[in-house]
Amino acid sequence: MNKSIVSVVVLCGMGAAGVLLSSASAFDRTVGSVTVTERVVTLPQDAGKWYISVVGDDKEARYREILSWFDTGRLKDLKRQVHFCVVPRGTAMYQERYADNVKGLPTVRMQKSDGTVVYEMAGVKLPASADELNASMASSVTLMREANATCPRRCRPQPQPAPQPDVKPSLDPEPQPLDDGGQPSVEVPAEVPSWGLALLVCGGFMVGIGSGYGRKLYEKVNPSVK
Amino acid sequence: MSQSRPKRILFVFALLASIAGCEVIENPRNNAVRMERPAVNVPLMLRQSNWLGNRREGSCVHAAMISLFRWQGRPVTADYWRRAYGNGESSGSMAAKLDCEGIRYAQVTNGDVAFLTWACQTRRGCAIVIRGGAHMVVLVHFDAKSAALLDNNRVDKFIWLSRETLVEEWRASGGWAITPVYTPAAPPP
Repeated sequence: MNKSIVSVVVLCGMGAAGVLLSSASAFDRTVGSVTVTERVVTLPQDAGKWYISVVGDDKEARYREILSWFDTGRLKDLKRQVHFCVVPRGTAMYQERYADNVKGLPTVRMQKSDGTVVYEMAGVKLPASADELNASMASSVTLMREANATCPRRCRPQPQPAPQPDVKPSLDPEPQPLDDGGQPSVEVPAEVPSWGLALLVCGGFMVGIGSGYGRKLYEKVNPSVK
Repeated sequence: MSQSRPKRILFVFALLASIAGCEVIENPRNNAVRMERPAVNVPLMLRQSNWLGNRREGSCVHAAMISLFRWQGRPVTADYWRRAYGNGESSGSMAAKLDCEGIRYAQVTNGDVAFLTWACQTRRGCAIVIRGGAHMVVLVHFDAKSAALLDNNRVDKFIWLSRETLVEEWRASGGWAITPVYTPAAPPP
């Protein structure tokens, strides 16, 4: 998947592809009698980006207040790291994709790229301030990370595409809201290599077998009185 | 007896080694996660139908882009585009209009399949040419086996086809694909 996306960038960088992004710089050159337009391209590699949806009635002050929280401070930083979706009540987007699954208005929902809800709060349960909302979201992320940290090697989710060499993909990190208690740990615990695990299991067996034989030997040398 | 013991130990070891790490503690809140299909599941109300422009030409390129504007959270741009533009377009003329309006977009004109993969993996979707370059539709799904199209001449359903068929048709039609680059709608919870 990532290789395919990266190949677009690489091809474009070589001037072999006709990909262009409107914000990219452009220059013309002449090849024989044909003028070729090339543009430097960086397609956003954001398939793993999380989503934050803020759903509500844009006539309500509370909804507008919550939206404004994302324009300052830590929530503004968070907003930059995610796909930020403003969903006013009454729009077609609300009717078809939110009306059936929100518990109240306004709603703030944070989702992983696969749709998993990491945080959702609605109505009167919503925090009273931007800092409280930030802290509340941070604790949800921390909770999720701790749950994932207990997951051994095979089932640990890896939402982020691995960086590829020779390109500069603009990979987006998982959002890391901050709370007053300090930055939540976002480090993925070091993974135990599979050979290490095998060694550990093997070692355990050896110790078990050794102790079993040792016990028998001890019993032979020092027979118990029955 | 003594010869079979190492074999038994080896068997137990292999059994334990094979099941090591099988404990699955994912999705602790038991949220149901289902990947949406098609990936770009444009709601019916957001799908723009084709229309005749003032030169009596179809406006499939614009219709496809308008559906994508709406999907990518740009309803105002979509409505403006519907009022301001129409008729047929080439890749060059469409790029000029998008540049003029300051729209962020990406396109290929060389049939590079990686672009389709990128567009659907990032859930943005893209407009692609078909029918020998005579028509443009929205590619709403593109995976290892299948693809799905949203045709602006009939927006009530998605058209599913194999990946190979889609790629062949697209390349035979000139290999032009284009999409706005904004924020795709969030996946369902």
